[in-house]
Amino acid sequence: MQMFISVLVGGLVLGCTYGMLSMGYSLIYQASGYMNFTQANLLMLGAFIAWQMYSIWKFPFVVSLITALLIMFCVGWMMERFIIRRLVAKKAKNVYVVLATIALSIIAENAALLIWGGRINYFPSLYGNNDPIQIGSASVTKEQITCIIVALCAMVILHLFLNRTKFGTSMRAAAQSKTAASCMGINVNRTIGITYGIAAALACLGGVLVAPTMYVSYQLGNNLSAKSFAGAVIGGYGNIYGAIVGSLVIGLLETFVAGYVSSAYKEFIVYGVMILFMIFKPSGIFNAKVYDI
Amino acid sequence: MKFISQKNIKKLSAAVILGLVALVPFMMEKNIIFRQNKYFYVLICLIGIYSIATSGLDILFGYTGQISFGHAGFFCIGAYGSVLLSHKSWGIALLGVSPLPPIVSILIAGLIAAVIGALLAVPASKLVFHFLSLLTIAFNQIMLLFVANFPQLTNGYVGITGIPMIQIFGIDFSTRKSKFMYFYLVLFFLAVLLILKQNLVHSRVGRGLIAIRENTMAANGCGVNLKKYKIISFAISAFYVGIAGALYAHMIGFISPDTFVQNTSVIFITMLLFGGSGNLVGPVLGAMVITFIQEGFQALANYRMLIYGTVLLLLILYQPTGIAGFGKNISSRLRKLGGAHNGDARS
Repeated sequence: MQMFISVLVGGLVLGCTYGMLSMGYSLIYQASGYMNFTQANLLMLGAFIAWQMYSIWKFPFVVSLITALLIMFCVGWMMERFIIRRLVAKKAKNVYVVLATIALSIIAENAALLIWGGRINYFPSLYGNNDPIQIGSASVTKEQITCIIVALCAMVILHLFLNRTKFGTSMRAAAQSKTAASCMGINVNRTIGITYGIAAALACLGGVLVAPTMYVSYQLGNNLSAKSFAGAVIGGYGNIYGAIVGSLVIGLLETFVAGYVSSAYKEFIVYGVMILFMIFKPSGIFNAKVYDI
Repeated sequence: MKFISQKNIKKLSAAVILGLVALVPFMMEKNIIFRQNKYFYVLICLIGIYSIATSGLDILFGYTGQISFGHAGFFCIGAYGSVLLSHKSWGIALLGVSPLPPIVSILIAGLIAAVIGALLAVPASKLVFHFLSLLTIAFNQIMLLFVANFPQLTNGYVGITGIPMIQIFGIDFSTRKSKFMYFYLVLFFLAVLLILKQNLVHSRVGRGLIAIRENTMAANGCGVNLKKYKIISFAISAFYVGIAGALYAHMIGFISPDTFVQNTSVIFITMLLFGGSGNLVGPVLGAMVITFIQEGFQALANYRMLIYGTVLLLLILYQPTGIAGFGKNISSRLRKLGGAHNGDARS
């Protein structure tokens, strides 16, 4: 029972992190129809910025979290404004936009490597005392619980923003049909830019939340990116709620396989499940539109 | 003269260039270009091998318009496949079957890569292209994990040494004994594969692939069987990269999973975009330049991937057709300068 609880909590932490990333992927795909491979490295950059502010410059954690969020929001917005929009205006094919995002993610990863070095850094503890919380007979760290709770709150806030506020509704309208939305007076360029910014901020939040439980290094993004794609695909690519569900499934699957079967096979199982979904049910759990003739 | 027609000029110039390239090792012997250093012989062999791989990727990306971020996986299949089939103490030798001669194992490894490429394309050919890129990334990761986590089969991260050298009819092509024989082997493969690529592109299949690249729906409406041609394109592309991987393994004499990471796929794509996709010389040029940058800037090893990323981004933003596209622009600009009329069909 003890192992079950710790594996469960570990799986939820991973699932929430993948969820932050895959929500970003689905948001961007829904809003503009492109895939964005930079999310994972934006997560890593956000984690580094927060680590730098919290453990080196000794700001309070909340301040460093909010600063990192704002910085990454601006980075995401600038990325859309200067690179993606220019490519779309040139009527470049889909592949070139995807390649541009891959190039950006390489630049981000290696810039982090050059600025902060290749060492693996650890977050100092967020709370004063480091006592683990006891659930039953298992003990989980406070950082893990924080990660899960804050991630779930962020998902709820995003849902409320998209459905209850005027701007969120205009974002959904622009995602459904750009032409109709601009006929209604919605500034489609601005909504797409803010969508990219929100996706980047989500990735940064995921990074800052997961970094205290794992580590901070320039490799952080690579390890997480492919599996959060798997989460987005399984849940239905383009559907935010599907992304959350799919990522939680992937996170729990990975930790349960690692805990109960073997650590070497967990990656195989995760990628295998993704490939099986792509072969047999590509529209995922929530039935996204994926057939191209 | 009838002999010097437009088509024949291209073939003659190709033959002349091939002859010049074949003389490169002799010029290196006599210290005319580079120095008589073993490193440079390995370098030109590497350029040849990467040209083959990039040409394979060009068939998929430049002519069919499908992207693949996992071609390092096929490189891996070619390398490990050929090694396991021909090594004296790993692979099929463990099962008691006598190992094959390396030339045969290279071709068989290429075929295995082609079959796996076809299998990979079957599910992805129906879906929006994003799924193909995701699928190829996952494929690359799975291949890497497969060769790294099964030490009984592939010796894990330690790698396999002592890969047998190639011997055909008693002529030894190993890099230890003769300095430039392996270059001629790679050149032979490159020439044959490039000729095959040109024939493919100018055939009915090639026109179908180009139609898919230009507009998938219109191609489907004109009767191009999308699924079949996507699978053909993927399989042939995988074949090229598999052969390149096998040649790489037999040249270096040692392989390990570190060579087949995601970065290698990105380097292939950088080579392709740099040189220009969709034509014959583009991939070769791109492979040449990027290999020189890679080896020449060893001092900036930490900045290497950062430079690649920046170069890739600038290329995509400003010159997606690469160097070869730049060359085409120059020739049409020179003709305009030389007095061709605007609006003339020839300019």
